[in-house]
Amino acid sequence: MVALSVENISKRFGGLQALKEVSFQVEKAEIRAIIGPNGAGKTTLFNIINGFLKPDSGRVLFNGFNLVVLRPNKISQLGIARTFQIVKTFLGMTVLENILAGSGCEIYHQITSFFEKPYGSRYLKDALKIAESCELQEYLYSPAGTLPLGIQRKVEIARALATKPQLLLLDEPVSGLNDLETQEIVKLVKKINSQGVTVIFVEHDMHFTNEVAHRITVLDYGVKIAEGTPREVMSDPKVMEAYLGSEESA
Amino acid sequence: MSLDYLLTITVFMSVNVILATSLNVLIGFAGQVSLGHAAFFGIGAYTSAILTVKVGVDYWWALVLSIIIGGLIGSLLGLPSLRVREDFLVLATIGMNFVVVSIFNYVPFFGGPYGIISIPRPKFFGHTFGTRAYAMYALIWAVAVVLFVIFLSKRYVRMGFDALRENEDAAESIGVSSPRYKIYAFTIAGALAGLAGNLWAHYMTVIFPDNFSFPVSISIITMVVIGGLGTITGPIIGAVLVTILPELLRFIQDYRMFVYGMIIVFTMLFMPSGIMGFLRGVSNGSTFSRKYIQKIRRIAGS
Repeated sequence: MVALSVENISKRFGGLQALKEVSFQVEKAEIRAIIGPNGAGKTTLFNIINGFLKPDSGRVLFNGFNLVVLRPNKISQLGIARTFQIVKTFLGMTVLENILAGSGCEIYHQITSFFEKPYGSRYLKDALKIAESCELQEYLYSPAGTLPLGIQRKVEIARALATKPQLLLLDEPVSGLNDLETQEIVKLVKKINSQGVTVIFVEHDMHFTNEVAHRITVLDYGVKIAEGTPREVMSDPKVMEAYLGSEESA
Repeated sequence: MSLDYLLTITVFMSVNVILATSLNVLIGFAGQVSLGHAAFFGIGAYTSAILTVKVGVDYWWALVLSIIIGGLIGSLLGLPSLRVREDFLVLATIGMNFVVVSIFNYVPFFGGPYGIISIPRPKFFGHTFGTRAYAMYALIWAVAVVLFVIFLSKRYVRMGFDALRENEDAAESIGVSSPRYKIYAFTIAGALAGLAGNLWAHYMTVIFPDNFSFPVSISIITMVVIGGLGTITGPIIGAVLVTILPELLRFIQDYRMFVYGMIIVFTMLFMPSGIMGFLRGVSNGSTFSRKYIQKIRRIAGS
């Protein structure tokens, strides 16, 4: 079953064609990596899927909704959560508050947001469960801004999970992390996926990508140049050319 | 010191507590810095004054309407916040303050520079409020406003405001519509400031455009900032200090504004997160989880 279908997405910033007729489909419960050299349009694609940017043409289908016409908050309510390349945790709020903030996803736009308590047992129980599965219990009461990057990335993932997503978008989840921290994210992403959540991530770290991704989509200068299992993609001459340059120009 | 003097200070203090608390919802919770809060204060005061003096509406209806109109105009004047952020929003709100005061000054309907006089004191079952009754009345409103904000603070709206203040993109990504929450904040702040305006106008019985000019906005934001942004007690302490300090300093006469100014400068230098922030030893962002740690442990254990 298809979880997300990106169809002929194009986006231009002034003279720069960031994405050109990009199409791909992600199966339910799949882990999909999107890779490509710097400036390939990966983050732009994420920003289009979660509604921060509107494409010039094309559409993105998720559970029968065309995401292109929806606001980001609406898209998150439909079940798409994301993290950011440069972490955007709520720095002044504690880790627990960060997670609880995510738990409110479905009620922020309703009048019940004036009555529901984040510290009610229902939300607290969920938040504590998520904190546990992300191994954040010992940081619950620390302001996110005081924590190292590796922990903050997990806080961001925990906050995203608190929105109860069906699809999780991770924008460079391991950039800037050491091997140990990277291994923790590997474990976490696999665990999340094993619970039935579809994951799409953008990454430069090829070890991480090969270890985690079921399939890989490769973008170069805004065009999809390859797609397949990690093994297929790594041996694709077009991918090598995009990353290393062609033999003629070398 | 006469009793009347103390009662008058009580009214001013109550009005300031309401103003500071309402501005705190906007700045401390939602992170929308406004330097034009006196405009909402003035809109409430003028609404109530015109309705009672020129239209002949009963005080209690004027009270309700000054809150509603304060909220409505708050949401309207909040619209620029959807387009401009941070320092640009600060400038836009300063501009709005000047525009509102100019309208009071130059549109004859609002009485011009001489303002509106003979604003009636409220009547309750035929009894007109004396100074003592009015002080109690204003104080009750101040308490009610603080309780209302405490109520909001423990609900998901507060989480939405916090998320918006901390990071707008991240807030959107967890379902918080930033336009909706900005308008919420401006509406609540406008409505409560409108209430403060009503209380002020009917106590003073005379209002002038200058009562609501830019320096008043500065003094309201001073209360919030020296008390501690984002806390509940901070703006109350700030409002009480800003009301009382100049009075306590009367004995040094000509130097009192100088000393008052210095106190504010030094508070900011040594307690940048305000008195409450300083006492807690935390930055303004941290909200209310510590009190709940016990409860959390209990739930985690079960």
